[in-house]
Amino acid sequence: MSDDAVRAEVNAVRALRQGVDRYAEQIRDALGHARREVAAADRIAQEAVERRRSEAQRREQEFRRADAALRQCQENCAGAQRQAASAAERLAEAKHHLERARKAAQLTASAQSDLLRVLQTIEASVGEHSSVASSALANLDAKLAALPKFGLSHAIHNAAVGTAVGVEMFGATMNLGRITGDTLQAANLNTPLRDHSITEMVEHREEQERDYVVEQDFESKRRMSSEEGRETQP
Amino acid sequence: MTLEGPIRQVETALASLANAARGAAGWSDTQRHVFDRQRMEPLAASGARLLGALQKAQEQCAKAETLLSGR
Repeated sequence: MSDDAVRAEVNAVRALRQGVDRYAEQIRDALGHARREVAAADRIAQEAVERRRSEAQRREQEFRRADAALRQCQENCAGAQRQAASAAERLAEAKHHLERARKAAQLTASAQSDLLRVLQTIEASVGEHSSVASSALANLDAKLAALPKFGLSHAIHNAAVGTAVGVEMFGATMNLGRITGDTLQAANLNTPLRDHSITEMVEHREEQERDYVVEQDFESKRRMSSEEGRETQP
Repeated sequence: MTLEGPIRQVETALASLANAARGAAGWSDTQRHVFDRQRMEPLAASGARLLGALQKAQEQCAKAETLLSGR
């Protein structure tokens, strides 16, 4: 793989990381906005219920007064009848409005409750996935960004040749073992990891390092045992 | 209308995420495919679920608005 191709990969990783971070931020904004909007809608509906309830109570009192006047009326009661009928009509209308407002408030309360439950789950899910993705990409970005300092092709070649050689070449400040998996992938070499994602290889890295330590340990024990064997031989 | 703003925000976020994934053209197809499946798909799926939930809530709020307006 050429230096240009590795640089393109560095740019791709950065672009994707920015995209993931931006996405998480936009979703957080949308969640906040949605919470405020649905709460406002519910508040408006609840206020409407209160307003309609007060109005219905007022209309109820009006009707009672008009009805009492009609009951007390002895003669020429047409006017009292009209007033009572009109008050009954206004009361029915107020009750109808109150019923509609109650239904509206039930809808907004249910919408708010359902939405908040989903928002909570989604917030946790987006937070977790974006954090994992962003962290994996940041990790990879840092490793890829370190390569050009030493010459990309050179670094990739050394990574492909082996961890021990790479550490010797770059010194103790740069742990090439940590980037071996990534650079093998960057170099598009035919390794068992070739068909794995970069993130899988970042995760595989730890395992690789453990194997390397175990191999070194095994090798040093083998040497010690061999030397001890030589010493005990006559 | 209620929740129209958040709905647009989520649609924009999903489009941006898709663009970012497409923008990662420097990666080989295999890498991108596996990364998409592992990391991007759950993110996009959460956004799509959020969009569905917002649309459902918007429908309920629209019905509530109609009831309140007396239409």
